[in-house]
Amino acid sequence: MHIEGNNSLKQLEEELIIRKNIYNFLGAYFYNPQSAEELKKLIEENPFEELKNIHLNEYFMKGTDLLEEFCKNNLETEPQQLSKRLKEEFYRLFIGPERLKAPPYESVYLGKDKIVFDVQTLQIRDCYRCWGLEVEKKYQEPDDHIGIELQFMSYLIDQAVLSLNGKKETLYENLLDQQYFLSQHILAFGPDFFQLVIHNTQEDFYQGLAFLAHGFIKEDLNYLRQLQKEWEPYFKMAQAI
Amino acid sequence: MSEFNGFKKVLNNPFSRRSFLKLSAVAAGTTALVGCSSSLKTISENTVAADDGIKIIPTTGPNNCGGRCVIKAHVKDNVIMRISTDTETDDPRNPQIRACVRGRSYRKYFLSPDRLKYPMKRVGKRGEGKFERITWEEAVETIASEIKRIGKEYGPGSRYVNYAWGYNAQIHPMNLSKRLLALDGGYLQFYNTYSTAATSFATPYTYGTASTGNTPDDWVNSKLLILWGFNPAETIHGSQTMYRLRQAKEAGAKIIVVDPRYTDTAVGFADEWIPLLPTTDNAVMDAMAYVMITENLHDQAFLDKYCLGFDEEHMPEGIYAGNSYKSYVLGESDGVPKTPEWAEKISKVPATTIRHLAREYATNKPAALIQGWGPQRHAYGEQPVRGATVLAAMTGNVGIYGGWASGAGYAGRQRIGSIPIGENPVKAKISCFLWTDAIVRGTEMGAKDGVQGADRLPANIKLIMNTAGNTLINQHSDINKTAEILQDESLVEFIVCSDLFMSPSAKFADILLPGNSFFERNNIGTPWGYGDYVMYANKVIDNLYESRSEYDWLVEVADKLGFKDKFTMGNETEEDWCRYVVAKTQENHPEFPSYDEFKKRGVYKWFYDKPYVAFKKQIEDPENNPFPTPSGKIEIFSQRLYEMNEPKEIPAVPKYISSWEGPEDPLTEKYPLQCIGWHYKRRSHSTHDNNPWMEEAARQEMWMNPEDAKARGIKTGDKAKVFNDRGTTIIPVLVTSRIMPGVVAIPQGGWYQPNEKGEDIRGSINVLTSLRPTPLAKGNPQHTNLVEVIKQ
Repeated sequence: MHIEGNNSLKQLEEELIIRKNIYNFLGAYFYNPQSAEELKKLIEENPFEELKNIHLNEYFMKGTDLLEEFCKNNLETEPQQLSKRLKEEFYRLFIGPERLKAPPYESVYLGKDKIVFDVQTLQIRDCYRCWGLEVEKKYQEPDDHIGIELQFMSYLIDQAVLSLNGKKETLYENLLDQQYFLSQHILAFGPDFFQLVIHNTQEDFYQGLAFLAHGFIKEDLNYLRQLQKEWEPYFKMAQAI
Repeated sequence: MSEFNGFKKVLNNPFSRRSFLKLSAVAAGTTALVGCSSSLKTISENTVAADDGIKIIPTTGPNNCGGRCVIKAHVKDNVIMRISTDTETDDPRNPQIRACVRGRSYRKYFLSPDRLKYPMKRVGKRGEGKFERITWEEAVETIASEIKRIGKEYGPGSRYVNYAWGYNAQIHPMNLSKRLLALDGGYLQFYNTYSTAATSFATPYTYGTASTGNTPDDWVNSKLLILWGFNPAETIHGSQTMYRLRQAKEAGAKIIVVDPRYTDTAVGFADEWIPLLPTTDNAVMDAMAYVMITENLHDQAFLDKYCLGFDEEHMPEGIYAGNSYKSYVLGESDGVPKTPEWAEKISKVPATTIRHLAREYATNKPAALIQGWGPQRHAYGEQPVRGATVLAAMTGNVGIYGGWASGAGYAGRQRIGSIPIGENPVKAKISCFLWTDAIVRGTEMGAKDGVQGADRLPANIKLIMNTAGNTLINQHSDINKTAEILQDESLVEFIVCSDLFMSPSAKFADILLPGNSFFERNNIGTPWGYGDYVMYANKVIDNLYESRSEYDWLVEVADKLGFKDKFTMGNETEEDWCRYVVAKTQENHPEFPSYDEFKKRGVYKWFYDKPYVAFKKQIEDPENNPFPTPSGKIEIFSQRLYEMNEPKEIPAVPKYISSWEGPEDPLTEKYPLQCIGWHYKRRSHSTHDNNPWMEEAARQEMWMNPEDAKARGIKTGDKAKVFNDRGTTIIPVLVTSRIMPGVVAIPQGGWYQPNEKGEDIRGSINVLTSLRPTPLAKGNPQHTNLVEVIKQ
């Protein structure tokens, strides 16, 4: 890859933006229930229809299949009603008041005691802090919510785009951080979390979303590894200068 | 994987790249980005400072446990890394206050992802469990307006604060709710507790007070301890109680446990275990008295000097002959001598064992017959309470070192400040156990139903505040009936609950509020059992999610109702009230440390040279110190009870009363087993039932004797259906000879969980218990139940 070439840089930027948006999308959908307007738009646009034929991996395909069906099947559904139904499911899975079907917190999966606000919460807080960020509801809500972690990935990628257009030498470190955060945190518990969603949800929408997310983050780590290899020489060159 | 394309490759392909761009466009257009209304924000300058150190902060878990133990929270940047307990050196005068398994699992429990997170309102039928998130503003507004509306429509006496002890501390949510309603014109008050209704009510008929206990540091002075239904190994009656028992044992005391179950306390300490059938305690007590009288082992001089009504020579004036306790025991009044053989038939305790127990107690002075509270949570729970006080008097064990007056056994040497509830303009009171009656037929209830302060209740209950308690469903009797009453929205019109989890009671809320745990609030507490200390429960982390302490939102309700300043008395926060509590405590105890020192240390202990002995003054100098009874004597015969003119159920001297749903009830043909509950080591009442660690420590299971199990083809681990006319529960069985034949025991506090057939599947004993109150105290008979058991 000729990284200095305008075309490939442009292509890379486009790739980064795609990833940024997907992480943001997943983060938002696992963090909050969606409004009727947003759902309506998603259903009308049905971006999953074309993705269906892309053989990224089994999970991803299953996810796009389910979501495409969901969009098709709900074209006529009253958006307010749909939003209400999915909101109820969102609460049942991730908030309560009954016992959560799929707790969305990293420490519940990776911590010794399966509680909220544990060692992992502090680790994640440190990751955010390194990038000058903190959670909006500090101390009130665990930092290691899957939705927030996915959005943090989106933020990192956004910073990568900025690097690409500015100080390119900082891009490499950013890519390492992305890789680290994805492999050590999101991928360390995400698959277990997504499995719980898949097995416990009564809505194809959340099942599809969980499959899609699982498939995507798995492939994205490979993507990042390849990208790192491509950028390594450039980084070393920049260092030598 | 080889048939799949890597993401990179996919993105390199213009066709599939376009597909992703579409998703990307939709995603970008519809969802929030970092920085806008979402989860992450840029750190502002002043919050950048990272605190890396671990602070160790002392606190304590003030749930409704008889103990109150040292919990040290190791906190880093608002995260509790671990908890530990008391590490001070033991001082025998006031030993360590160490946590048991429950205390050590607080972090696991209260930081569960299942905590209630947001205020909610009910959207389905009441009790169905359907809720929708609302704002705190809406919650506060609704509560205030319902308090106002119902007070106006039905009168202030239609508003009730339900028995709730999820927080047992000086800042007490139940009392705060009472304080709020007191300022708004009043509320229907209750007396009694679910723990000690009969003993608190009946003990004063003998002694004039329920404070009949010595402090447990006196147990080393006893030659014999008879623990009658007393199981501090699990119930914890004070965090240092087991230490005191061990001291007594080491000092040579013999320990006898009387209990249908071979309890953990018995396993650890008992020289003898005497099982008896539930509700038959008085048969055994009467026979013990018979043995003492006929063998002349009783302390006649003590009885003559201090007591009223033991024999015909010491009766109040104007009472016909044959009404003394001795006449009853010898059968002179009813023709039935209360011989050990008579008692054996009823209680299944062998006559020789009863003789032996009577002789042991009468000849090993000083001796302490210590009553737990299980035996008085029965259909005629007043009788064993009074029966044991008579035995204590007959053996002359009242008012001396190493003795024990029996009865309620309360003993406290300190007076800790608390938040005043304030004057309640509504004077009517019910027994706390009769609130479901007061919903259905309140205005018909009068003196016969134990109503105090009014001839009739002014209204049926229409509004319930249930702040930090699970007695709305789970801990009250007859859950199925209770649920039916609460489901009828035309009866109670508004219920507000504050809880940490979706408990069976919380499910019946109209407005359900997320309470915060003790880790998130400041408080001050003591054990309800014994112990010469008080603890500061430090707040160690911020409120989780939108949870709040009850005080926090009650202040806002008070504000809406127009009396915020009166409600707070200038105390904006709970910490302000903690200062108030310390100031009040300092007034009673000038030696008490400063607020800051107390808060920092977390615990303040008192040290005494000698144990406290109840009634020491009355025994040493009776002329100048009469007992606080009408006669000034220990009233074995109570004229006040006599005048109630209900001799069958409220006798003037303690008697064995054959109990409904006892072993002699004809109903045994249909339901042949007696079912009792007990306080389980893995729960504090119903708290911790949903704590996974505690399920590992001790699972919910029913004890059954091998004989009863064999007859029903049940083996350990089998699930069984336990049922009577009131309900059915399904529970795994432990087949064990640690329980006597004819009796099954279900540990109380399992969270009611009905299946589609309406059967409880969590072994919640209260689907089997009865709403019929005890005759005198109007207390809860929750261990008096006949059931049948079949293999599931």
